[in-house]
Amino acid sequence: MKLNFSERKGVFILSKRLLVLITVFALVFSLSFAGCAKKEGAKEETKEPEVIKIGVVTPLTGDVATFGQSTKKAVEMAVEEINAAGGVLGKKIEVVIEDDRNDPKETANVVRKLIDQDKVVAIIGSLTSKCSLAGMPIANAKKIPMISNASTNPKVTLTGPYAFRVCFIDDFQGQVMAKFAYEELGAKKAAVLYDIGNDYTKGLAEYFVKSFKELGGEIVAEETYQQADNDFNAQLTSIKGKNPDVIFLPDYYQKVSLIAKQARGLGIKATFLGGDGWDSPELFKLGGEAIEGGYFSNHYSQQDPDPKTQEFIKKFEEKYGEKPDALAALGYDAFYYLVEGIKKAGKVDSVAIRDGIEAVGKAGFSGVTGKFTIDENRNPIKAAVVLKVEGGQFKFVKRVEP
Amino acid sequence: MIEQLLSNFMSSYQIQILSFIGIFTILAISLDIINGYTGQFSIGHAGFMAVGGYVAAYLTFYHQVPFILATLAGALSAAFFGLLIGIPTLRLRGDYLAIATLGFAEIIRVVLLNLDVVGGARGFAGISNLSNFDTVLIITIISFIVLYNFTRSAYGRALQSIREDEIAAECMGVPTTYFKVLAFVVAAFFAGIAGSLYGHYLMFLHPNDFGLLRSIEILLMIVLGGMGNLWGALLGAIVLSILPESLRNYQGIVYTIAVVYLVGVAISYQKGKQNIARWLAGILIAGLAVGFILIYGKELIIRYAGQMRMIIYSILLILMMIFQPSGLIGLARDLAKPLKERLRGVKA
Repeated sequence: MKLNFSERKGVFILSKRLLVLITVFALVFSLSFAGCAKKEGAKEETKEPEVIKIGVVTPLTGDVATFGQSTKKAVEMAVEEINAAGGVLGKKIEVVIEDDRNDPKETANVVRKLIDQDKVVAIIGSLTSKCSLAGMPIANAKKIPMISNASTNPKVTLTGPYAFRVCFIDDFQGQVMAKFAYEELGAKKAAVLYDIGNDYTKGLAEYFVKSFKELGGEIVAEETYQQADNDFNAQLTSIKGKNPDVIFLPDYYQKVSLIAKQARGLGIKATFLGGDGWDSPELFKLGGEAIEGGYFSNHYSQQDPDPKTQEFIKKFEEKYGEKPDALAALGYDAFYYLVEGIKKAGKVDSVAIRDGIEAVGKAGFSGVTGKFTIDENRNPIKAAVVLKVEGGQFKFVKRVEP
Repeated sequence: MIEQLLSNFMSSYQIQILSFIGIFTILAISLDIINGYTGQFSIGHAGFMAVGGYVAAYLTFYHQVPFILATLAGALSAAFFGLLIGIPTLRLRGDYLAIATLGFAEIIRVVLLNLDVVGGARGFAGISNLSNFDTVLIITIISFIVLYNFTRSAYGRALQSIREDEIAAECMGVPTTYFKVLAFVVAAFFAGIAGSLYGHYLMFLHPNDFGLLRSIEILLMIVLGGMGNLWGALLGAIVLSILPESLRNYQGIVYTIAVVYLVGVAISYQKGKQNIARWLAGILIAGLAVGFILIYGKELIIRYAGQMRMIIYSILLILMMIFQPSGLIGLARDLAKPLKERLRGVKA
């Protein structure tokens, strides 16, 4: 490797030639991106917009891409329905969907792009809490309402008055399962095993422990692991010695099925409990017999008899040939929640829309994941459903009201 | 002030990308001190960035320390960690060192995940927005000048001598261990500054944001730009920050492909001068093919722009490494060669 300026010494001298070259390079690249920006911006200069532009930021690539794809599908379906029915306030809706790769830095970029270049009046997203926490401060500063469909971290809506969500928060899911285990299953001794590096599983576990103790139960073991771990025998052996009635495993389906298999292999008979991360058909494929008889809380159930839910499932299946997961249902609700807010506002103005969304939330919104009203921090107070894993299916057990 | 000037003809989105370019330039040039100049292989740069970011954010959040002092404290703590990792691991070479630095960055990440005082796994939210484009620009320029002069001082030459031949350097009386640790400390210091700028710009920090991927992203910048050259690192940071954003929509994809095509034409012109006819036919066919795809695939590209973005991005990186392993700075030099020759000819 040869050095560019090896013959010169010491002082800071800019080589003129190199400077010119770098300027040219920088110009070409900035042009390539300023050029497209201008065109997009120019279109939206007019005062009275013909269409209502709504931005969507969700991870279409990266580690949680499947969740982002579900959200995208649900939103696209909702837009089609609304436009087919004549739009909102007599105007068609146009969505701009952008990928953030589940990287907070990209979310910040996307939110600014959607607001500055695409001139959206409201944003749906982002999916994970860490991305929402990076994007929502910007939306708040720019006074653009932003509704997340799946960010369960309590801090998300504390970023400002323009931050909303349609899912329940981590605390609630932990409470629901604790209550269900203690009251319905009659469990007195519980163990928890969770990923210490994941805010989602940690949040659920913490609140499960807290609520279970408050109810009068006993937490006999609290074990943790790291995201990269695949061998849980050490933790499970320790848990086995304490002989719990239930084991709370608030992780995603891949980890849960591994843990369940290893636990049954060690002869642990306790019932497994979990959170919405279990919601995937992969759970049966990976977990097999081991996961049978487990219970978990979820945002909605495909077997929920509510006609609104059933209609959504039917439409989604017709359009995409697959059953919608919880993220799709939540994305669909987030979009309709926003649309109701726009209707309430009566005009296409983001400040009015924010007030509209809040008013709709306060009065109560009914979506495919159930009815909810929002509290003073704009967090939905809604019921969770408890599902049972039985014969390769998720059986609807009951709806747990907050 | 500069931000206000720019905002007349740029959106805050573009200014934000420029700010990230600044932050990543600091990271790239500081990593270049270790990887490019000293010839050590570190893939733990995000760890230093995390230390700087978290320490500075902690100070401004809990103790309302002024931003500059907090940044300095963050940078010094990062430098301290640079020293800490430098001393025991610099007996290692090549792959072993790479693994050790990676392990170190993972330790930082896992510790941060478990530190509830800075948010733990839920992330550090609510950091004040204390850095803007102006602060990033000024600090980037200062960092660049300092590091540029550093690489061209006696210290910098000592680092390069280690890269070229460690045994020879030692024979010439260069205390190699001292200089290797020095490289780590200096690089960590600047990475800490970048971390503080990043945290106070984004107003949010998450430990998992400083994993292997972030380190690789910085490494990619210096590899793509051309190792052992700060201008190359700067170019790499510019290109790799803009590219994922410019690929977001159809026009951006067209512009990017057009630029890549033109650069390709220029390179092939220099390499294939012997047979002009064949060269012309070649670029014509390639141009037509690209144009055909862009025109007839327009609907498809627009529909799947979200998913295609990272694919195009990766393809461009692979092409770059196959055809231009010396990086963008090597490319710039190659393209400038005929110009230089002509200029010299005129003078003579």
